[in-house]
Amino acid sequence: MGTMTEDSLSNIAQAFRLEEVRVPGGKQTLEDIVGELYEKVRPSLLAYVYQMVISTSDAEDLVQIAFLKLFDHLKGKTEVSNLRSWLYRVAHNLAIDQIRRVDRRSSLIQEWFPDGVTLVIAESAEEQLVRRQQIESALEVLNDRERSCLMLRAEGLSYKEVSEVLGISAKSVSVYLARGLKKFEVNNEKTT
Amino acid sequence: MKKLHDVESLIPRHLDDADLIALLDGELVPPSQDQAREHLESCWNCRTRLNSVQDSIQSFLRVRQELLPDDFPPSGPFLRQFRQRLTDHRQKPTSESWKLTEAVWTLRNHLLNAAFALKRHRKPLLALAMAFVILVVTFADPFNSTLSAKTILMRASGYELVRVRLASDVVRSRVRLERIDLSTEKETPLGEISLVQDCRTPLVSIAVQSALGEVKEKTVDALDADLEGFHAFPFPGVFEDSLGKYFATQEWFPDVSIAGYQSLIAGRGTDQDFAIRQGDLIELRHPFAPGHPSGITEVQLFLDAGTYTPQQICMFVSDGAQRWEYRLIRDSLEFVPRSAELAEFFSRSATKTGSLQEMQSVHNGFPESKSSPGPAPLSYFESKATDAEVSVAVALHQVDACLGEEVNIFPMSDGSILVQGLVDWPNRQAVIQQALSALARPPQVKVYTPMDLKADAHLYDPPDQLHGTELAFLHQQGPIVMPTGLSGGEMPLYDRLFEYYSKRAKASGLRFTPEDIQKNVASFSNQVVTLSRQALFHAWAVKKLEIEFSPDRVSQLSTAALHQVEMIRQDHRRQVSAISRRLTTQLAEVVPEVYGSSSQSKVGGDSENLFQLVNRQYDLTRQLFTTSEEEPNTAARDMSRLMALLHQIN
Repeated sequence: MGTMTEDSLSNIAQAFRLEEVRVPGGKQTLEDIVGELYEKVRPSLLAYVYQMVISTSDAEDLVQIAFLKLFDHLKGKTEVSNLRSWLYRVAHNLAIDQIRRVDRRSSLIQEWFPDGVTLVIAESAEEQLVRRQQIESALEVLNDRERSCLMLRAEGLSYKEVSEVLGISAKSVSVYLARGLKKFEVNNEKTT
Repeated sequence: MKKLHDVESLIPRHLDDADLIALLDGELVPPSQDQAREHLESCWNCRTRLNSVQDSIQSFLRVRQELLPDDFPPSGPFLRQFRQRLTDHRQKPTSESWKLTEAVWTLRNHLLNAAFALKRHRKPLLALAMAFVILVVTFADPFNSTLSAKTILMRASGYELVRVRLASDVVRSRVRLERIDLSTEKETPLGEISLVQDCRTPLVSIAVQSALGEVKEKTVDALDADLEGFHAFPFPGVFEDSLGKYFATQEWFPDVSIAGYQSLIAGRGTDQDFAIRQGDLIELRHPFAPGHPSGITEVQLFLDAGTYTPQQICMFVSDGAQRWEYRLIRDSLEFVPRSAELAEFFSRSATKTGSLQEMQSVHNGFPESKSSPGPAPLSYFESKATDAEVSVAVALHQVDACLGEEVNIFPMSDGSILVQGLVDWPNRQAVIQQALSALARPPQVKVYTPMDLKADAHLYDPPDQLHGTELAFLHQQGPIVMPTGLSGGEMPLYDRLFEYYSKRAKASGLRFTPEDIQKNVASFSNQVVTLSRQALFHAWAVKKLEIEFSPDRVSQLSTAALHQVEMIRQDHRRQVSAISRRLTTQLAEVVPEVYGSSSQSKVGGDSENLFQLVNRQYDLTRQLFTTSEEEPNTAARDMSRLMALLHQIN
């Protein structure tokens, strides 16, 4: 694996809003670069994927796969613009595939059972789970688009980047954000 | 971005939320940005709105943070793991050449078959190594190609070989056979088949119970090619002659397995097939050639889409005039360690048939084992309550096992206590067992899930003799109203609720779609019915408690125990009141005009009276808030009756 040029390194750093992408010791292979990116971007990407798949191990796996794809993408390519939205888009699509794969039935039942039912079927040892379900119900008023827009924006993506991840226009991002936030606010007032 | 200054700058337009958020996000481009800033300086309204938008962003971020698990992102050697994965990935060929062709899958299955044979010939290590290699290949497959029925079947067959036929544990599976008349849709159960496959020898023990309860057992050598008469063994006379002949030719045995399915379709005389994905199930359809001598027109296989585990086989048969279906449903598939008992069974089965009793234990109580002699359960009417019984009741109450679960405390003839019952989920089973094992004198616990019950459990009649029609509510599924199942008129209060939520949506100033509002209606109805059901559970618990610790039974109890019983009773009564208060508040908001139209009579201490009242309110709630036959115009009357009842209960 050849080393990266200074230019492409600074482009990558810029795309990920990092001060620099540099591995101590001088010699930098693409593996080193992607490894370093993984270390730095993982927490934020993981948080985004987690809120979609609600499983830390699945999220961790999907994030790693996204970075493997990033490695393939960077290999032999000099064009490295929009890398961040590219990576989020890959992870987003992987998460959607994953959601389709896992058993949707049980989650649907949980979604439609109001909170009272947990008293009957859930044991008190699982209070934490119940709490999470309740918090999640705070977001259930949002549709997928609104939720994704808000979550991506919360991870610090610009409107343009969000629009690239979700394949919609930047203007729509602005509208989804406003609508989502408004719905969230109304629902939040209702529950608190 | 709207143009801020219209014809006259005297009437400036206010900024909308999207503009405000974009301004905060630095996403407005210079001319609009300056205009927005200028407007904000002069407009109190927009400035206040800006602050509240900022508050919403903050609370959204807070909720988002709370949604994450406590130790997020998880720490661990993830970087090292990723670097390793990356190195492996780099050395792998490009993803295009990963895609396995059907030929490769066929080859792989042949390899697996070879491994299977090796295992039977006592070279398990080599077989294991091969299986491992094949597994790695299997899981490296990217699963992103469009799958044909053939590919799915081949993959499923590979998985089955690895998981079931090469399993290192004894595999126990059970299948139900039904016949369905397609003109009348009448289902006739034909029997059950239980298979126990040894992991060290090629022996399979087959036990069959016909619909009449007749039981037969046979242990066969799966590698033995001479299985004359074996395929007709399970249900003589059940299948039509033409069908039986076809099964014998194909060497098909009524079981839900991929290998079996493959032999079933092998002689169908056509190549047509379809694969349909239905949620988490894959449905494979294999039509038979028209006029096939067996009479079969089509067979279908249902697989779990995630694990490729076969779940059900449907076989459609026609004799020209009539059409019917044979349905084989796999009820269970479990892997059990090869215990000494199992080892002995299989070693002796090679030479002779085991005893019926032995067979029953190998097949996990199939058919239902006879109850063994021992202490007998007493009813509450022929025994006295003890302090130990009270402490069991307290422990059960603490884990809510008295709410809608059929868990009973049985005083036994030898003075011991048995807790027996049926719960829905294995985790409830564990909770109850744990709560009871913590007692100073833990009772014997036999709490089953429906799955165990089919296998070997025997439930005694409840000691309070309350079984019967009143218990019906325990078996009703919890109410789930899906928004898609709601259309005007099906639920009596639907229009009313829809109107209410539409108004609220309007007041919020947001554009809610009709689906959003339907979702709200469904959610509200579910909540009301669930609350109402809970009240019923508590009232039921009070009633049960009064029989369990009736004045006749408590003469030997200590004061402390009596006090504990009273505490449980009060606890349930408090819950009933609290729930009816909550229901009253919720309903009054939606249907305010009936609020306050109630009578004020008070409920006495009689638990039967309380139960009847709560039961009536539950019936009414279900009638009003789930899809029912009720006319919307009688709904108003029922609604005020419900409110009156709630008042009375409260």
